[in-house]
Amino acid sequence: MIDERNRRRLRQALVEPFGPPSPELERIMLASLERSPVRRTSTRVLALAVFLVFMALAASIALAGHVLRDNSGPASPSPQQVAKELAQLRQRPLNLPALGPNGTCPETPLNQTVSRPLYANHGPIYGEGGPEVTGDHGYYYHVTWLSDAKYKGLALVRGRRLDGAEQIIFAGPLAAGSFVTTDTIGGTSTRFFDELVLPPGPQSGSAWRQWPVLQGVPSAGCYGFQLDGPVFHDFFVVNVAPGG
Amino acid sequence: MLDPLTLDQLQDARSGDATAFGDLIAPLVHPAYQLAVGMLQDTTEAEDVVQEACLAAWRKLGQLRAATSLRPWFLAIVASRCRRARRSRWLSVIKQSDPLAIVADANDPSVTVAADLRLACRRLPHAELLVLTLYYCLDLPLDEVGTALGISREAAKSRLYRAVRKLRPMLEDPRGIS
Repeated sequence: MIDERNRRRLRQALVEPFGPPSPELERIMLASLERSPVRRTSTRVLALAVFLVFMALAASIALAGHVLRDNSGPASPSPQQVAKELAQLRQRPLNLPALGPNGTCPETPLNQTVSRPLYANHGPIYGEGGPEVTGDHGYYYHVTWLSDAKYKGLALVRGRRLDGAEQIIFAGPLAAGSFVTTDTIGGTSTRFFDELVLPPGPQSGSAWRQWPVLQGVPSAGCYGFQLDGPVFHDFFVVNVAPGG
Repeated sequence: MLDPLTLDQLQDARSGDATAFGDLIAPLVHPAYQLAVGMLQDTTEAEDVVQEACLAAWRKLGQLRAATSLRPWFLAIVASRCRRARRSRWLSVIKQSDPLAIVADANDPSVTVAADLRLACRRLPHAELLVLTLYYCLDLPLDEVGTALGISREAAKSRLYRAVRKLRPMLEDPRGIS
């Protein structure tokens, strides 16, 4: 299909500039094999992991109950107030940037003003990447959404593809809005919606709030996230690389 | 088909002998790294992927059929990890700069042409970049390429042809392309 000269050029472009792997790589790999559990014991390891997670969960529930009982700060907004604010946020149209010249994706650089690189232009709500999970029809990721410690309010996250019509979709207890699709994630049928609602928190405390979220997009492309709260509006753009 | 010695090692590895598995996998580290670096264009990510793939292969060894060659089976695992790594980049890490661009000399045509070709390869879908890397950079025969991709030899050849056609404008001597 291509001659030796072009084959060489392809190698020069793809592989040769990077040189050989680190001499340590093989040793590290073999050492990690020695450390890794033998397959026969994997069930036991899994059971232990489940047990530890269960214990950690139980402990954190107990701790949370204790903290809530002791919390003497101002109360959280009432459910009626939250519903009213959410309805107002939903009235805001999606106002995302257009594609750049020649259809380039106006990706937002990672926000470096906080302790770790996160996605957002200004905050106070930030997105942080996470591992991909396999689904039947799209690209899904376990990401983390974070709220600056100073921000205690509600936030609504929505998004769509800038070079197409597809929506960003969310699953789990914080997913809201309209039902979009169902996909099988890790063998489980999962329902996806077009909004993510990050609830308001207690009015005291100095810790950042965090929410692990499963979210996805149907295909590779340029996607914009819009983040709205009663006192802020923000957005960021990411480019989902084609994976096949 | 695996040779008798390799079959013995495989048997030992399946019974939990990490050293036997290490002996089996060691000759594949370099091609696995070449595949990963060709797919990801990043040495650190490539080494991470190879390590992950090695552990995944160790755990999945029971799924390897004796009649199947170890090399395409292991490279398929590496390819799967590369695909995941490419997908995960969107929200995990944005590559702020291309390390190769730092050393690229804009006045050297061979460097700039290679950079253009590299960019064109990065824009290929995963499956097409994979078939190119396996065939042209790792010199795998088409049969093994097909096995690694889980497709027939003919399908691998078609995919390779499609990938080459997309790169045609970037390749130096069009007479060398059919």
